[in-house]
Amino acid sequence: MIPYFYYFLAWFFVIFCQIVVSPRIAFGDIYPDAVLAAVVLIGLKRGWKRGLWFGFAFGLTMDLLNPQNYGWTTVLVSFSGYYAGYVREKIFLDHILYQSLAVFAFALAYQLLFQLINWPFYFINNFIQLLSNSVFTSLYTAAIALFALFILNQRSRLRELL
Amino acid sequence: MWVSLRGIYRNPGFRQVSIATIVSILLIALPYPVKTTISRIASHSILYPFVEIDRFLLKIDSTFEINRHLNRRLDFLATTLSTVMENRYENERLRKMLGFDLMLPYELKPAEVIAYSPTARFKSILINAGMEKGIFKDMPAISPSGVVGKTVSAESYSAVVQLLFDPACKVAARLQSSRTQGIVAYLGGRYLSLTNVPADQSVAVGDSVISSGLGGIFPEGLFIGRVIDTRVKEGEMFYEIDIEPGTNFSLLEEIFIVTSIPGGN
Repeated sequence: MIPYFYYFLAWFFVIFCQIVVSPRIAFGDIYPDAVLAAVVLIGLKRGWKRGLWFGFAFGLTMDLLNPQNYGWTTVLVSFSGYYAGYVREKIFLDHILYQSLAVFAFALAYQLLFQLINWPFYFINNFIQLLSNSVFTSLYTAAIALFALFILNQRSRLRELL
Repeated sequence: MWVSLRGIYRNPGFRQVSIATIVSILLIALPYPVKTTISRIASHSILYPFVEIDRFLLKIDSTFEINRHLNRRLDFLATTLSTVMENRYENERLRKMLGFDLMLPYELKPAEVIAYSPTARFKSILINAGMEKGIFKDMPAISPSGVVGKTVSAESYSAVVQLLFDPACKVAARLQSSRTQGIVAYLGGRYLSLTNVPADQSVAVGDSVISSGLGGIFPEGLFIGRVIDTRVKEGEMFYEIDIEPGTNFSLLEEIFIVTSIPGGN
């Protein structure tokens, strides 16, 4: 059982990455969604329960920063975590490439749904532009997830060797 | 139907998802002022460290940017200042020369020094004015501080000026207060010499040496330098007089060539 301190540490690290690091590694409007990547990876690795509640906590934190979209990030990120856990139960994705592909799919769905819910008319009128923007953001998010998974895998291998 | 609904309700996944969804919907349904208040409180409490770190990094970013901008500006201003100072010195020099020009009764042609002779002690200089400005051979070259030398050759747009420190350059001179006459020449060492002054004449240290006008090239009354030392060796008939020239030859930038003297050739 992971102690609560580690939950807090994970929350702090992910929110730090989202608020402080992401804008600094952005390419124009395209920046990685650290929160979604973390929630999907938690769902894929630890199951739907942790995916759901980590998603809820991270989403709620992000919502607190933006009163205009209050609640929407919470619900969408929670569902992303839950469904990532569901995918884990149905299809066992052990390879980091499959896992980052799953992050890409979830990130794309999240981006499109978030924009559709918040700006429906703008979304319909500028669909192609928003779609391409979402694809690039999702790709960047998946790339960051792949990098994180690679680092974690190397760490695990090192531990096994020692 | 009832049984299946109860089954779904008892499913822990469904219950937890429902709780998360209901809380989210409640948040969505909150009035906007309440959302704003909650956001404000949150950004001053749980999100405070992140917001502060973000602000701090933004400050560092902007400090770097400002620093880069200021360095660029500093470089530009340093260059500008250097140019301004150079213009200021040139302005001062030209003003001084203009005053000098108006003071003398001779016709003067200004010229800039464009080259020094490549010897250890400068003995001749090249100026950027020549025959096209009426400058020919054997014309006196002067500066506001005193006699510089004389032209020894002239081309269309340039001329060579032989300096007083060249041993071949000699100027008929006199001591301003005692009117004793002699010849200014360079005989080696740090200073010019006033030669052919009889030992029985009175010579005072600090006396001004001016051109006498007897040599045929330099007009009368041009300042050459000051007496700094006098000696008479035993059995000698003439003084050995050291003169410090009024002109600093290593700092020459602009000079005048005397092209015509009233009443002269």
